[in-house]
Amino acid sequence: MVDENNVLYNKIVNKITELMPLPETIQKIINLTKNPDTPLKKIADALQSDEAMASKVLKLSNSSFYGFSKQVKTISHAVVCLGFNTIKQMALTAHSFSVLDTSLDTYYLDKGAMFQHSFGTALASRLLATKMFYPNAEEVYLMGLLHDVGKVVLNQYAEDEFKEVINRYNKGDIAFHDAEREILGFDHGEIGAAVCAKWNLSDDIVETIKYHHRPEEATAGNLSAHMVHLANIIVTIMGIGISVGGIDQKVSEKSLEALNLKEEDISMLMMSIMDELENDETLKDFRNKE
Amino acid sequence: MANVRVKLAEMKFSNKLDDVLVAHGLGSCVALAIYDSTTRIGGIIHVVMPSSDIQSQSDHPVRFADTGIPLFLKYFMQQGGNFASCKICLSGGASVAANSMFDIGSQNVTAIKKELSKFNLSVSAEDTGGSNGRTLSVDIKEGIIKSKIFGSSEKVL
Repeated sequence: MVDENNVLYNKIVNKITELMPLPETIQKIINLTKNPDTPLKKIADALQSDEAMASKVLKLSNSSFYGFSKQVKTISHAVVCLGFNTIKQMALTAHSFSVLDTSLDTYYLDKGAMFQHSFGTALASRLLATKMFYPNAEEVYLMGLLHDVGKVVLNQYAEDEFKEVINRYNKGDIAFHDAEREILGFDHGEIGAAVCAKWNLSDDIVETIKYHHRPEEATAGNLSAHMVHLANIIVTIMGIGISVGGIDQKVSEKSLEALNLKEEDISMLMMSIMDELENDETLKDFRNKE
Repeated sequence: MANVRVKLAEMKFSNKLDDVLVAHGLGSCVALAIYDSTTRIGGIIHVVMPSSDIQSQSDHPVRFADTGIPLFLKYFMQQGGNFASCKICLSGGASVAANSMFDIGSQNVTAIKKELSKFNLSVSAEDTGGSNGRTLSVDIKEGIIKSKIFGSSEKVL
């Protein structure tokens, strides 16, 4: 746990709302979906009031993962077909894509690399969730997508402190996120969790992002923490958006056990990640022009 | 100068003097670079996994060392490349410490060398192993092959 008196942590957390505002449309959708009795029309109306967001959600609704035989052409149709939780997650996904389409100099990550890594981890997390017959694979996708969102914040607010983190890491015998913890008193997972909490996302999302490097500390039974942990490692090993920390990560034995993963599963997963990366239209639709 | 990216599970060749072939983001993947100093033909293959056994009828031979390397060498010859005057270098092949399940990097290096030996070829220089992320480049004009670890200096192989 981060010390509650950690000055830098508190300074950064207090800046999150200003630094990473959540669009009004999404705030509204999150609030509406809290009440299960909200009429679907209200959700559709809220989404339609933001044309750009509505168009992105439609694109996501038509991705092959949902497997509709006919094109989903209107937001009302999408809301009826997918239900409001999925629509909420899609709106968040579309917003996250734009937040993550950035370069992170402190982590030696160029613009494309940060996006690719987040997107690859989202795909891999969802593959693991589907393999486990997890009930809410789309939420795990969102967790994978946002797992490193704390890096975006740290990149802007802790540039100087980061030089010390890199120096510590370069001395050796330490994983990068442990170097963050040693120097800053917290890691990018904790900042990412604070972002998700400010965005009013579910406790599962907040916890999974917080513990994606140390899933054994998450609540027993939180399988998504194990999924995102392993998805992140596999995608990093494959070099997708790999950064200054290389692939020097601690693999949690507990995660391998919880998901019952064998060596051949890892290889198959790598194959599936490559297939999805080749076939998914999202990269084309959502990357900003460089 | 034009940087030509060789992405995950791709292979590319060039004989254009202003080209630099580059494989970014090598984790456990291994990039093999070949350069023929007489014809100035260079190439890179970005291999992801050692064996195609897991996908028996793969549409993606370049993903695997055992199917990708023979194909790469065949294309190299078809482009006019000469084994007698070529240099072969490797970069990448990192591994996660203390977990053999994720030790794909060293398996990739071993599998590539095994395939090369079937053509009586060997590696001239390599920058492999450890846990660092790397980038490999081939400068077609200068015939220089370089490997760089993220956040540190590059070395000529």
